[in-house]
Amino acid sequence: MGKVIALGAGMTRFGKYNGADLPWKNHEELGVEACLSALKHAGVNHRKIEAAYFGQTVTGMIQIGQRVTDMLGISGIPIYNHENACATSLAAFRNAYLDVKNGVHDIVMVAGVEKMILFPKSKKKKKKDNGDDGGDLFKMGSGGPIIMPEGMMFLQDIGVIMPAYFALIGRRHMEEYGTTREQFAKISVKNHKHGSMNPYAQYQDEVTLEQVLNSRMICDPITLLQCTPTGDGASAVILASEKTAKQYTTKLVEVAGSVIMAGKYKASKGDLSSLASCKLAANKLYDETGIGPGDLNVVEQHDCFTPHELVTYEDLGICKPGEGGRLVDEGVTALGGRVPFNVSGGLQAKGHPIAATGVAQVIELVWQLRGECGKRQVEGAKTGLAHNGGGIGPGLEPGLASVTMLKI
Amino acid sequence: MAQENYGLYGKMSLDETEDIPLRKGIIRFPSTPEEAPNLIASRCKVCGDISFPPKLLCGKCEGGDMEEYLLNNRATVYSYTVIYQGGLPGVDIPYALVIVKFSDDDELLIAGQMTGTDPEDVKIGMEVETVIDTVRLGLMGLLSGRIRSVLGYKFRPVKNS
Repeated sequence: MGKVIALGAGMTRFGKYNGADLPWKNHEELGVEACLSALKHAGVNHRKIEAAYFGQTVTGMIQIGQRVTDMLGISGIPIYNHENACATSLAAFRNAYLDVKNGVHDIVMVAGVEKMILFPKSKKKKKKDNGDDGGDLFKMGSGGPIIMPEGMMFLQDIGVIMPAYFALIGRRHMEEYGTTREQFAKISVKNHKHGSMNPYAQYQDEVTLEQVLNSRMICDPITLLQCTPTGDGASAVILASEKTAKQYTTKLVEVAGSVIMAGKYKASKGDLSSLASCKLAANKLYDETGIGPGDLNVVEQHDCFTPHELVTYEDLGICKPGEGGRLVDEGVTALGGRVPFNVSGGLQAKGHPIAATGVAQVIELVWQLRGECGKRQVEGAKTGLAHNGGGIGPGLEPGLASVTMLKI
Repeated sequence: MAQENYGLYGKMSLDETEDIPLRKGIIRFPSTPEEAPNLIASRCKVCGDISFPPKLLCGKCEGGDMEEYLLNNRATVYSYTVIYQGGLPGVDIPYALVIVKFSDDDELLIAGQMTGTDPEDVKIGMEVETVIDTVRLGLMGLLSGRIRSVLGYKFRPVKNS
């Protein structure tokens, strides 16, 4: 089995392509923009692509991969379309990675395409303040009455919406370890600051601790500015075998490993202050790659709601259980700290167009390891990890944990 | 419920003649008013693992023979949140959502809405009991103008425990 190289990476800016905040764009337009950008970054001709792996959720209807590649003149190759909640595109990514690693294909394309804003917005309406999305969170697959009839998903029916799930985890962490609301809120401040340096981020404005704490309460202790926004966007990566990649570049960013694991039934043994599936997946990745938590230079983490980032510090082994709050206070995970988390702005500021998120995390790592990130560059970064979570699984364990390691 | 206006869905009346079960076979309804209801879990006949909602095959061992297991009516709040936005049709916000633990199995976590208390008074460690209640309104009959209640379970503080 050979090495797999991330040869090129490109994405759209994340945001609301609703005709008011950003120009109206549909799924295909977003997907094409990201794929063209990735092909250009890799310097690869579109006709060299041997297989395509797409991520899409329900808003993409069917076969987004075929619709996008058709416009790019790519056809007659294997094309796969994946769904796995918020971890959708890293599921696509892993299958692409395995196919290149096993020598099935030499050059492949992976992409995630998402459109959560399905209706145009009138330009006449007054824009709301930064971060205040009004009813949008309500529409975000959170069991809101708009999209979820009864009898389809048990947890949705009893009201376990996503921000509530992470609020329950955060609350338990507060109980067990004395973690504070301020420590959760500081994660939002940090990631918005990072996002202000990323032209691809949905929100590029900094926020203060007071603004975060005083924004509207969504699910106690999570306030509005600790929730990822809804938005649209697409992301794409070109993967190639080492031999082929060397024909295109000398900056070889290797995909050292990719692990995907569904939540394991009762793995947490009744303890939700930590997410057992993330620990299992991370430990498997560390074993496979020989790279441990102490070796990481940069991490892109699934900070959909702030408690998720804090508990993941512990689950990835960056610190001991209960020390996540201290890590935030000491700035260990901020740009300039020992292990910067979400220098792209993360889901908090860069945004979370569901199917595009996982691949976008990998894109940030590719750019970071190649030293192409400008003001938000982590100096000398040689190893990076992406953590992408999805859904809620059996027994209130997470539905999926996906971790990917890149190195140069 | 005399409510007639369901906001987004316009003016519709609630059909009270028939409820939709949250899920079939998860609640044992009391036969007398004095009796308490129970949640119906599954128990593996091989390893004894208890699961809710019930499983058809065991999640812990290779056992494929499951039996019904009635959970204790009492549980303890393990974690909670108060939801101020993004609720369910027919459920007023704010409402409290909890994860509880039953004495039957310390590894079993069960989520549910709270009732019978101010949402902001809910605390970790609070003793609660299972009650039967409407958890949301159903929308499947929307086009035919027939809105029904989804009947499930909630948790309520045990009085003066």
